[in-house]
Amino acid sequence: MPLSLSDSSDTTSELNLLIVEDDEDDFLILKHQLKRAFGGGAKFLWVKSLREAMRAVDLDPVSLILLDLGLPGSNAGSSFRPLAAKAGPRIPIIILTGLNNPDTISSLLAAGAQDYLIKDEVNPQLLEKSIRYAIERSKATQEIESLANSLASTESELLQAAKLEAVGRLAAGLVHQLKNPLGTVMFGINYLSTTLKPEGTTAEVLERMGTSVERADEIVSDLLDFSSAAEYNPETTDISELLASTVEMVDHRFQNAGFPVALQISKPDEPIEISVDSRKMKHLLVNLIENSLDATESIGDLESGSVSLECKLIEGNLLLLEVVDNGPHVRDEVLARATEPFFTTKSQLGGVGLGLSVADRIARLHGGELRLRREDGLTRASLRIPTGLTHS
Amino acid sequence: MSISDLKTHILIVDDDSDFGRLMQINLEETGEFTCELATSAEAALKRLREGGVDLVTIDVMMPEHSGGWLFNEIRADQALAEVRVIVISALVEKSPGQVLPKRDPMGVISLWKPVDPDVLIGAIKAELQSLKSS
Repeated sequence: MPLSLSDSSDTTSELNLLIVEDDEDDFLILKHQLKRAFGGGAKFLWVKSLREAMRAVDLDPVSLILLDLGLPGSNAGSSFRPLAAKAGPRIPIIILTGLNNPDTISSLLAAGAQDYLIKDEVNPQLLEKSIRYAIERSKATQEIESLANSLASTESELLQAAKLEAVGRLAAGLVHQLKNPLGTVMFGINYLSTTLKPEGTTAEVLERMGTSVERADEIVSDLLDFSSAAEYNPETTDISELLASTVEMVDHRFQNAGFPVALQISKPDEPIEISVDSRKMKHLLVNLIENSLDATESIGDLESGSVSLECKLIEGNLLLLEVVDNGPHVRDEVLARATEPFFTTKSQLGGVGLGLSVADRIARLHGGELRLRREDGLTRASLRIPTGLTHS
Repeated sequence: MSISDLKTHILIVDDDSDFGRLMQINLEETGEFTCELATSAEAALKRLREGGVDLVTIDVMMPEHSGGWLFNEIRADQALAEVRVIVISALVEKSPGQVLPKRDPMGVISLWKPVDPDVLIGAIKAELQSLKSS
């Protein structure tokens, strides 16, 4: 594994030089000069071809490459690009050339070579200076790149957050506007059902209207949840209590599923305390469980549905909560997009694609991580969250 | 004393008159309540001060003065100390799977729209009961 240059301020103590040179005499001269420059502070690995150099970058610790441009079977520069691509930004490359060819040299410097040395002009002082500067410059370049990357990713996160916030605000406004008419219709249906004592088609019409209003209300509530998923009020709670009240919330859905399905809980016997926003954490689990319940509906007659909620402490302060179901196969692309807002495979059933997205947001809010995967014929939603408490 | 004097009199405060009117129809259908409507917090407070209202349902989000303003005015007025209050909001965050209304830390029952009529009637009765027992 290549050494990480940024780990040490004293690079000479672990200077591993890869020398790519087909001419043995040239190598021996260079080695002699390097020894004079660095004493015992540098190690050398000598290879004669580009192919060996590529392998060495993979297998050996390399802090810098000295590359002869006149390798057999390659014209000036053609060996640099593949090697530079292989070495990546962490390993600087200094070009060695017998000829002073300004065009080739400037094109290689532009392509990322840190420096160039004309063989006849090389002396120990020049070598040492060139190598030290190359390593320092490469470190600085890496730092700049890493800052640029983190800036870009922060920017994209901010943009995403801004988008979600805009959707959230829109949703909150919309919810208020929709709840009143929904409430009015619900009152109306209730009144007609009570006073008309309807039968036959009239009864069916009223019942279907009632179901539709409830479904619309659920969609609107999902939007409201989505818009409020950013508020966070943690409290210390016992995981067993949290799981028990979660199960209470979904129990009626399992009782009335209309197909054979069971919910199992497995948790450690000893109490585990955790600092979470209980309401939100239950919400997250309910969403995962309901999602699994929906998935098991299409299993078919041969097998009954099974959803299990499993909980265990891993790595001391990290809690693993998993909701596992034996629903049909889910493609990787679907799993990968499952937590995206408004992504749904259940649009015919009235899904708006916010359940798992809300779950994901709640997980992140707790400094946790939600992952979905398919394994051994089971779909597994794994939530890792810090307990938020320091155990002595 | 007429029959209606024995019934609980409810003031429904909601700026959405369709919602309010249908709530009234449903409550009166039970035969246990008489209702009237107010479509603003100010009108509601004026009506409450005239007396004869046992319980008021307050919509939280209303233009001009909000339901919260009305609630505070009622609580601040000694003459209205016996008026029972139920808050009905479009933006109450209910927990998934939650069926029954909860009292907030101040002891006020909050319901969310769309209100299930049975839940609403249950809440009204619970609130009236708490008056008798206090």
